[in-house]
Amino acid sequence: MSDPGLDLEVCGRPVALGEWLASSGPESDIVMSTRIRLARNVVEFPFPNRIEGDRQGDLEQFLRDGIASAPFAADQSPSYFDLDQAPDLDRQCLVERHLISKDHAAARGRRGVAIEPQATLSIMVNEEDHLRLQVLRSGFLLDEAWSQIEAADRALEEKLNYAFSPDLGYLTSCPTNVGTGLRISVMLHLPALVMTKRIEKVFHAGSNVNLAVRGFYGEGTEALGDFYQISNQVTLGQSELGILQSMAEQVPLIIRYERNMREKLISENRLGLEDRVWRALGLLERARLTTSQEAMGYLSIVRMGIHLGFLDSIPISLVNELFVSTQPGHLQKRAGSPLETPARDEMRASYIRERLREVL
Amino acid sequence: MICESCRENLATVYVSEVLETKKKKVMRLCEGCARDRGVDLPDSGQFSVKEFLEKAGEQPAPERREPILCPDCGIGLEEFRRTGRLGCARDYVHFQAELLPLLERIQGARNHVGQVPRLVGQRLELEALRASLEEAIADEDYERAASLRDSIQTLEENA
Repeated sequence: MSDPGLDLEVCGRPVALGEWLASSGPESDIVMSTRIRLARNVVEFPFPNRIEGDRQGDLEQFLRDGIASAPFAADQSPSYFDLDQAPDLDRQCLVERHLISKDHAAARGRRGVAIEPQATLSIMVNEEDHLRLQVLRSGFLLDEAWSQIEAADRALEEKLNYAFSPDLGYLTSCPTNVGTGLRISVMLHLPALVMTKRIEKVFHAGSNVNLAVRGFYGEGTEALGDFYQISNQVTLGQSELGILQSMAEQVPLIIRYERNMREKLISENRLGLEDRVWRALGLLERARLTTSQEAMGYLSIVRMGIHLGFLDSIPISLVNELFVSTQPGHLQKRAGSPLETPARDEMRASYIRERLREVL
Repeated sequence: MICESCRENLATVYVSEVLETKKKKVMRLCEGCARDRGVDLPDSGQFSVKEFLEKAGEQPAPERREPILCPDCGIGLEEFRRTGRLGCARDYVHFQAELLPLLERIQGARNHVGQVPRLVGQRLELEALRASLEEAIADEDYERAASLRDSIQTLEENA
């Protein structure tokens, strides 16, 4: 049962929902998604920030041809979406799906993204680097995500001559990515650590082992929906497997910490916690105007309530999908036209009510 | 947790001051405000290349007067300092003297130890084998030289 608000066509072609919303992966009560990205450049062209005019188009075509001819596994072969031609709303939806970056959506000029049929692998073209490969999977799935992106990288390497130095590794536009070009980001749902005011401890623990923790949604310091992202900081002097290993060691500690706090909340005041969950659901079921911030907050509590067994008729995938389908781009895409904030709040509220009515 | 001083950034530092009354006052601050109060922080994870370069730029520039530009992409250190982005892969060679200390600072290392593209790996392996071959010949270790020559031949055929 997929969310009709998530049907997405970009440039007239459908984009799959993305496995990460299904909560099918390991530890997905707490780990929303595992994302791995590789930054790659080719030797024939300067980095995208030094390319203008026709050369930018030449570079895009060169990279597109490389992607199109690379020997990907049959089910991994991506389709290309020309973002210069795509409407603003389509680009915004791709950001909300986590398939392209905000910068890539907002940029101008010849650029694009290649997306594999299941939308677990995407390759941004002409972003900060020539290529940004990304694999996005449900739950805590480091090894599989790594195998998938490594295979895609090896396929591209057959057709493209990567900028690489034996001393410094893969050469990137920003020196913070040089070396492996690898960034692993695990998105965690940590409502109990937020409620018990222990989230700063997670920040501290991360920075001690060279991992960055930051709020995922929202601007600046806000962490809407209690989603936090933990990612490696260093890309040079550590091997890919070393970086994977350090994630594999650290993330389970945070998962355990969140689980312990959930248990603590239940043992200390089960009724109070249940009350919070049911109130959040009540607001989602009844409200007539819901801001994006409110939706994220209530959905977060409901998501936890489902995993704690307080609510059993709501599928977790529905809640995950609502996190995306109630964002401004998806709402406006569904409405078929740009909407001002009050109209969006109204549409968001009615859309959530409609979706919940199907299961309650 | 928001910084209690600037109320803008995330507080990641706890500073406890011992007041005259011997009471402790704990403040939650962001790194910037903590540093402003003279707290000596270890290397933070949130390193800003731009900030580092700006600071590096404040120091009196030594011998070089003319801005040196990369002959391939035309970018200069000034522009790199401003944007935090390099212009092409060769900048890592042209500006090696400036970049290596920066990499050491932000990455804690100056050498790649991870994966190598297949073709580059083959080339490096060939180079290493050829160097060993020359060594073996110089040492008059002809048995080893023969075996090395075979390995080189196999690799070249597969390439």
